[in-house]
Amino acid sequence: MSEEQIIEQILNGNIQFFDNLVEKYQSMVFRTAMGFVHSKEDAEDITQDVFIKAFQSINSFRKQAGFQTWLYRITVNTSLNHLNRNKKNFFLQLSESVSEKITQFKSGYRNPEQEAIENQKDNIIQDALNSLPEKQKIAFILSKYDELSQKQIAEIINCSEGSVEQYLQRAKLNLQKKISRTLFYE
Amino acid sequence: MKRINNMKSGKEIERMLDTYIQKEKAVEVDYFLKIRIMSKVNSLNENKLHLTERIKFWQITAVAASIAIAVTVGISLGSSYPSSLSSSDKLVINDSHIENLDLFLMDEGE
Repeated sequence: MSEEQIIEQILNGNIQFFDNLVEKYQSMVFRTAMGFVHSKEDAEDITQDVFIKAFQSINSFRKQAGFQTWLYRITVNTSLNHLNRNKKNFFLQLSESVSEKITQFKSGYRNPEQEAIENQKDNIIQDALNSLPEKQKIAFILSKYDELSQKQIAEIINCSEGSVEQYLQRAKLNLQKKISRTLFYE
Repeated sequence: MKRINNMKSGKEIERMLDTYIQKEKAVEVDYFLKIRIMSKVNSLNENKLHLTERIKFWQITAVAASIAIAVTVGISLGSSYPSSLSSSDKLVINDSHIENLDLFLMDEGE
């Protein structure tokens, strides 16, 4: 059954067909969300929100853009909203991440020193990714995590391919600057 | 020398980024996530159906009530109408006493 037929069925009230779309796209949505939030639990929450939003607004889905592009747009918006909301809960997040680290440390699968270094590196990369301007961040995540072409990214964020290329170049430069500053000169 | 160091660190950073991204991409979705999503979608759909049923019920009730009101008002107006005319107000029209209309319709020049 084609995607259009599945959507038609859902619009006719056969919601069990929505299961096919979830099955097909959940990994894609989850992966993109991971790129934004870097936490499995948060990415799963975002994935759930994305599919619920898609289900609720499937009537407004215009077939001009593909379903995948439409879903990517919802995912990007939901992830950005999540990030903006969580900026306000920074201290709560900080305490959670500390307790997470303690749990990981207690479980003791790896050398604690090595673990600490790895965690520090990961945190530096996460901070650098989070500090990117919005458009650069979206373009970089869609390009690296989802391996989308510049054309596809341009379609998702409604801009020209040239702009996407610029965003990607600037994102790489910004990441290099930020990471080298914290990693090599500290 | 500084440039070579910069290039070296640039490549190192790129490698670090790639490793990090690959690590995050390797994280798999929880098997139960799909079930969670579908149960939420089903409950939303049920709520939507209940709401639609409720709306339909109230629509039908409103139509029925307006018909009943229209009928009642019609009957009450109809029954109140003859009683408002007293016998003295009744008109007896005798066609033979009506003035000849031709008199009023004639042009002045005629």
